[in-house]
Amino acid sequence: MLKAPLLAALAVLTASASPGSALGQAAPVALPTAAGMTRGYGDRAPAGATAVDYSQRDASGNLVIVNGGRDPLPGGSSFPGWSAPGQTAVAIGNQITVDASGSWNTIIIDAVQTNTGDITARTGASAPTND
Amino acid sequence: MKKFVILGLALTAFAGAAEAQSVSTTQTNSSTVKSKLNATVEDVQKDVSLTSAAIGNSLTVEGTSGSYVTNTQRFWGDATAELNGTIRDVNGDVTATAAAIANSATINVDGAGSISNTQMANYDPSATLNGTISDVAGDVSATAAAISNSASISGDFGYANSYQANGAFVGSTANVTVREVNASVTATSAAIGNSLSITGF
Repeated sequence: MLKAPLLAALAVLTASASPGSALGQAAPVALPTAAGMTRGYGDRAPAGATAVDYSQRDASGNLVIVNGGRDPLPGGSSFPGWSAPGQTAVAIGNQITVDASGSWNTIIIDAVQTNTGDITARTGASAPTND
Repeated sequence: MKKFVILGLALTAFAGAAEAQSVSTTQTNSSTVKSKLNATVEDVQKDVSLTSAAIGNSLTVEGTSGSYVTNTQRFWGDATAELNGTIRDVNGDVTATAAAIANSATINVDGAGSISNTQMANYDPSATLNGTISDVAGDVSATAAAISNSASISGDFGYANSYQANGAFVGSTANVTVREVNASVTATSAAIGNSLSITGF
C-alpha cells in the first residue's frame, strides 16, 4: 500500500533535482504528487497538488472514536445554556469531554450515558443602580 | 472564610507508584444529604469564600499502577445544597458556591490496563444560591451547580468504559444581587445530568 505514494514522492524529488531551464531544457511539465495519488478518507477536495487532509485527526494527530463513531461529542449539542454579561445558566443532560495532550494516539471511548430526568438551571443576577 | 461540606460517602485511595495495585469500589447511598449555609460577612480585609456542598458518593483514586480500576456508585437519595449569603465591604475577592452532587469520581492513574466506571442516580440533586454582595474591591464569583453523575478519568490507561444513568431531576438556581464591585462579576448556574471527562494519552 505504501509503495505507490513512496514511489510518487521519489519521482517528484527526482524531477525536482533535475536540471532546470537554465541549462537549456524546456520548461518542466507539472508533475504528479504523492498527495494527488493518495486520497485520504474525508478528503473531498478536487484531485490536484494539495496535501491530503486527514481531517479525522486533530492538530496533534490524535483520533478520537466515541462509541464507534468519530464524533467526539455524541449528541452533537451545541452550547445549551443561556448567558448574559456576567451571568451564565447551563443545563446539560449528557456530556463527554476528551482532552488528548499527546500526539498520534487513537483513543476509543466506550461510554453510555442515559438521562431521563429534567435538567433546569436558573440564574437571576441583578445589579441595582447606585443610590 | 467559611466552608460547609457534607459528604454522604467519601473514599480516597492513594497508591504508591512502585506498587502494582488494582482498585475496585462500590458505593451505595440511599439517604438524604443536605447542606445549608446561612452567612453574613462584612468588613473583610482579604478574600471571602463561602461554600455549601452536598455530595452523595465521592471517590478519588490517585496514582494507582495496576491492572484495573473499577468504580460503581449508586445514589438513591436527595442531595440538596443551599447557600444564603450576605457579603459586604470586602477588600479582596468574593467566592460563593452551592454544589449538590449525587455521584462523583476522580480517577487519575499512573498506569492501568482498564478503567471501568458505573454511576447511577435516581433522586434529585439541587443547588440554590441566594446572595447579596456589595462593596467589593476584587472579583465576585457566584456559582450554583447541581450534578447527578460526574466522572473524571486521567492518566495512562489502556481502556476506559463508562456507564452513567441519571433518572433524577437536576436543578440549580442562582439568585444574586450585586452592587458596587470594582472588578469582574460572574454568576453561574449549572445543572448537569451526566458528565464524563477523559484526559491524558
